[in-house]
Amino acid sequence: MNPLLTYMLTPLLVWAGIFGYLFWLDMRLRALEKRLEEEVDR
Amino acid sequence: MSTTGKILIGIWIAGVTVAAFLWLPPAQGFRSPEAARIVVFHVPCAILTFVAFLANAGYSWQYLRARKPLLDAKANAAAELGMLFAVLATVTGSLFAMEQWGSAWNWDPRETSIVMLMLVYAAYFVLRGAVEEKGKRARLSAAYALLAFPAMVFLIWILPRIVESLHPTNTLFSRSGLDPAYRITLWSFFLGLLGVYVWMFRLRLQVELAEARVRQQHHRDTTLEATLAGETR
Repeated sequence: MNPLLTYMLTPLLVWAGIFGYLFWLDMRLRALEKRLEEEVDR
Repeated sequence: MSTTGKILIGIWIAGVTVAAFLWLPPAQGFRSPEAARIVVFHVPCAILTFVAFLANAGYSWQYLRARKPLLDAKANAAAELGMLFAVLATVTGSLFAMEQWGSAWNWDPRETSIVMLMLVYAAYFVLRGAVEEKGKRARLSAAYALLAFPAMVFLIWILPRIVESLHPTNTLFSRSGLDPAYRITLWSFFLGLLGVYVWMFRLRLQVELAEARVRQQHHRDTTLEATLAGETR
């Protein structure tokens, strides 16, 4: 692979890992909050 | 964490990424001088792996002394983040290895030790998943985390230094090590990642608290249903 391309890929991977995890946490939190609201309504 | 804080962290990391690309010169003495800049992203991930696992041991120690569930939740969150950064350090390290040493995986002592480290902490999550009772799970995983800590220190700080390695040692602090421009960029990226670590850690705790509230509410509902069923009988 082109060394410059490999270098450019690295920060993208770090960003993808971090934002992927943040996104997953956010989705989980929203789902839990929704479930909590449903339980309270019930 | 406030929205302003998150925006500032985002701008900081984006700025450092751009600076690493436009300001940092290709490093001489490397097989691929352009790709050598990968170290400014790889090394902070590796340092944060250590920081997170250190925090895991600290919270576990505190849990065993105070027995507060929040400390167990913090230990778990720190271990999860440690694992995330270990994976990121391994992937970015493999990209660097591919350019520098011709192969993405060389069974170098540091490469082997990070795999062993990930296995040690994977067992921590397996243990947590295997015990249902909350108090027992917290006690056992805290004890395991304290056993894993010396193994982690050995794998990160001692093993790669006592056997011959492709990785250089003492490059971060010694004057003869990294170029000053590289050192500035590397530590700037580390600061940004530390901010992201705090952000993720707090969000992970929020998830843990929300899970606890859902469990509590569910328990309250089932108790109420059982009571009502008993009264109508």
